[in-house]
Amino acid sequence: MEIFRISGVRIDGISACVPDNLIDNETALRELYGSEAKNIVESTGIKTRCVVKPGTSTSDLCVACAEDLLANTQTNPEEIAAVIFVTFTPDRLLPFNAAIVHEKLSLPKEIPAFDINLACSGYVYGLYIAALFAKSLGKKVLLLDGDTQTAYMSAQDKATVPVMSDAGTATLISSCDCDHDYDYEWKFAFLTDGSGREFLTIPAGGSENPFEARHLEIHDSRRDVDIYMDGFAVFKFVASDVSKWLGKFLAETHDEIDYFAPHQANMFMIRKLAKKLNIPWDKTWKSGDEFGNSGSSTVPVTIAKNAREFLQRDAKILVSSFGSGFSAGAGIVNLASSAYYKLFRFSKI
Amino acid sequence: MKDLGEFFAFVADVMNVKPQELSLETRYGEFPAWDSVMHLKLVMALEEEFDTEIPIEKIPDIKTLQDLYEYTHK
Repeated sequence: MEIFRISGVRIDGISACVPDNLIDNETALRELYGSEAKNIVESTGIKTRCVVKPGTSTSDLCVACAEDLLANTQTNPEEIAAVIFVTFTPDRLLPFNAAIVHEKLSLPKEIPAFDINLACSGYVYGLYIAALFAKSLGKKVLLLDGDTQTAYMSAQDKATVPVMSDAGTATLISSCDCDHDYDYEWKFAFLTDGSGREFLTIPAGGSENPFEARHLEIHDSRRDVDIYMDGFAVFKFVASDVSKWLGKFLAETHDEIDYFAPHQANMFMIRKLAKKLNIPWDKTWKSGDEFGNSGSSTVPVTIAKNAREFLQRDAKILVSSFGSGFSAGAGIVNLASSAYYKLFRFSKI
Repeated sequence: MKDLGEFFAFVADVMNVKPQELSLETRYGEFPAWDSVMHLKLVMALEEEFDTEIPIEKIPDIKTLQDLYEYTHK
């Protein structure tokens, strides 16, 4: 296993928002599936989900977080040396979302700005790349991670409707003079299995299958421009591959983990994963039961929700995310109790 | 451990089907009531009912009620 190490960086803060449109899952699913709705909610553990109102874009959510984060960490936009946007649901296919937020946040012109087109596994990749930039430049890097998945979701799809939601986040990563301290070394590992690419996909609208009017026709409960997910295949990837791989990552890094912040795919899956890794359930941070699975942003949403309550001192956190590709990322990062953490409801359209 | 009759009654109750519709050969994905949602529901219910733990990596390997029944006496 290749372990990617980096030190001399820190997280100054994480701001996250979820739409204030909170859906009661069982009530909503009862209209579609009748008495089966109860089984679905019990199986996933997702009681409520946050969904954007029509007209809200991914950058709207993340810009709101970035503005909150910059203001509360006393960071001037001029200090931002790079902006990275993790999303698979950008505002437009062209240009990339980092350009859109670059303008909205009035960031300096002479900085790199780019997107990372990953789904659920994206935050860990973003964190590592942002850390590389921060260390290389000796400056602050803004990492945005968000998705409006419900824009690509069929209202009749039993696989996606019960779990998927929307959210935006912003993370500020800085270089610091903690380079010498082993405790502040971050470690990462990454896993890819492209043979799983058909199990979580949007079949039409890309260069392989350019958009045509027929892609708007519903068949098998969804359109070809909607997200298709074989939930059991994804579960199998996590159960068979990710669980063992994460165990190996923990064994090879030899770190004492204070908390586990996993991707909130569903509550059953993360409870089983924590059990496999011998991480107590009360050390496993959750948000999916309340906000649903918003894609890769579930990790920073989960940290923002739990850090202020649990962090009485600096702590080592295992972050882990997994999904479409198949793809997975894992990291052990230090979270400072003095950093800024906030989770708020997004109400603007 | 419960006997087979009690096991089928338990599964039938979770799946909301009649016990007579079930056998040890009843297979995930082929029996209409046993889809991916029901698979997780069955595992959760069985763990609670029989005070057992099915490791995450074993859950995809459960293909028939025979496989599930094994966990009632582990």
